[in-house]
Amino acid sequence: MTPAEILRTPAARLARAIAGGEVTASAVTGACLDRIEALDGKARAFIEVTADAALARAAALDRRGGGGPLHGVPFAVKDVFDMHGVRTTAGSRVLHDNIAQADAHAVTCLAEAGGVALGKLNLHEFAYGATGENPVFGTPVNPYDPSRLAGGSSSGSAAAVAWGLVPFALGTDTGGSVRAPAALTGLVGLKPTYGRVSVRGMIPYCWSLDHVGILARTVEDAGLVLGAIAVPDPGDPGCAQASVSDYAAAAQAGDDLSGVTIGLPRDYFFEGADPEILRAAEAAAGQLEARGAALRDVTLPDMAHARTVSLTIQMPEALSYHMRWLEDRGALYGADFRAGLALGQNLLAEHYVRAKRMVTRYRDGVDHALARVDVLLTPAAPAVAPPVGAVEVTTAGVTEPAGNAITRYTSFFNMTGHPAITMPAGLHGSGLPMGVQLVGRHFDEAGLLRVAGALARAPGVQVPPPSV
Amino acid sequence: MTLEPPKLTTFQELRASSAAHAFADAELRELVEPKYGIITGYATLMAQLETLRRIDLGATPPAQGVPVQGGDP
Repeated sequence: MTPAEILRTPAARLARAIAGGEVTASAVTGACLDRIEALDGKARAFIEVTADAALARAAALDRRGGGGPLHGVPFAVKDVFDMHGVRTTAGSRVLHDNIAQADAHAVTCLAEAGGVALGKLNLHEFAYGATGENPVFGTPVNPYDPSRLAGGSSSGSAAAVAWGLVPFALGTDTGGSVRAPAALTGLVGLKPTYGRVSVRGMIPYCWSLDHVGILARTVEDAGLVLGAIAVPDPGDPGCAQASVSDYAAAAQAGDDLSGVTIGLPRDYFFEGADPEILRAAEAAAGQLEARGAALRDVTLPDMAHARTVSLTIQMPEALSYHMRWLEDRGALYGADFRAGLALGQNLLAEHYVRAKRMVTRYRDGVDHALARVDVLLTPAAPAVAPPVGAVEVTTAGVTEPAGNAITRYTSFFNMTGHPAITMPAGLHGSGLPMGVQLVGRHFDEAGLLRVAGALARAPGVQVPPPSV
Repeated sequence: MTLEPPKLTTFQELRASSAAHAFADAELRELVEPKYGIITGYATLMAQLETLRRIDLGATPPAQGVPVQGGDP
């Protein structure tokens, strides 16, 4: 394989090529490092590239041969995941001297699967915002239009995969921070069920809502990586002891969706969005119907208070985590994050508990809907990627803060904990990617990926790679 | 109930009397006159929480982790 072929090949195919002797792990790693060297000055995806360690690891894998399902495949992680001996900054000056003493559980899992870590990826400071802007390490930009955001908070993870620097990346998703940037950059973004993947060794933003997530180019790749990291972890009390399926196989299970029912929550999720995006979501539903699925309108719980509920949980939890640094390192935080923490300090305890009770209502409501349908389908975001620096976004007469717009359709499912995936749904007239979101039952990632895989193979859904 | 918009002095007095972090005046001012575009201000959030307070949640308990029911169906 030539470097150009390597760089456009998805992770699952790369793993097969390495296992089959078509290419070495060293050649694949070298091609990615060369592209990072050439393009990351524009992409601003990486905070730290661990090139020497990656090349040594790849050479060792080539000598050893065999290995796991990701043998020799490069990846990178949002800089909230610990990598032994490497600084974990969370995108903040606060942690400028924070050298990890061990790998995060998800990083360990990827290493055991044969992956080659290339480094740490940029993000919105402490995963606080959805625009992904970062005044300390620069703002990752969208390869379809570098004047546009890549989305966040896993902005570097989205940029790294979308710019073709790595085949896949890990991010975290507290309100859509994996799924939304994936949708804005033409990628697949998977948030598994809450508790499916251990968060041990990861800097939290909000314990109640944080999920480890995956950004990849294909549904099959997302499934392959999920299979590698969905390893029950006794070291994380919140990690579920759930059985694990062959998720990559589920994504490739075929196009016949007979017997599958797709729910369309038209209230809220199909309102106030760009008309082209709404048409793309309807077209995606039509493609699923053409493959044998039945479509049914469903009603989810009233969304009027969803963002309030989410914020009322986020800020007190974030404040509690950061209290240990506020006294000594407070001046090193970004002003916007400190203001958010101040908000968290001035909420009542009963507000927080009430918000958690609302989450129970939301979760029960989605479970009720998913008792009648197998998967929900919504647009992934109401608008395409906003310009860098945008404060507000106006779409179909709705004006809202840019970060709220980016995560309008995703944050609800962090509260309910259901697995959700965003994936391309064609190019917008502006030339930017559009996306749809599929949501499945708790711990039924296999069923979710089966539907997503079938949709990904439908005509008109794929987006061409960016011309960078 | 109509809520009074908060004053900076309210937060300053709370800061002085609470077991809490001593946020600077500039950060407390963001709660009164938001300008960063991420939070919409204390008054707006309180108005929303007041609406939320009127929802009868019965005996609904706070959410915990997602229970595992046999793993993949």
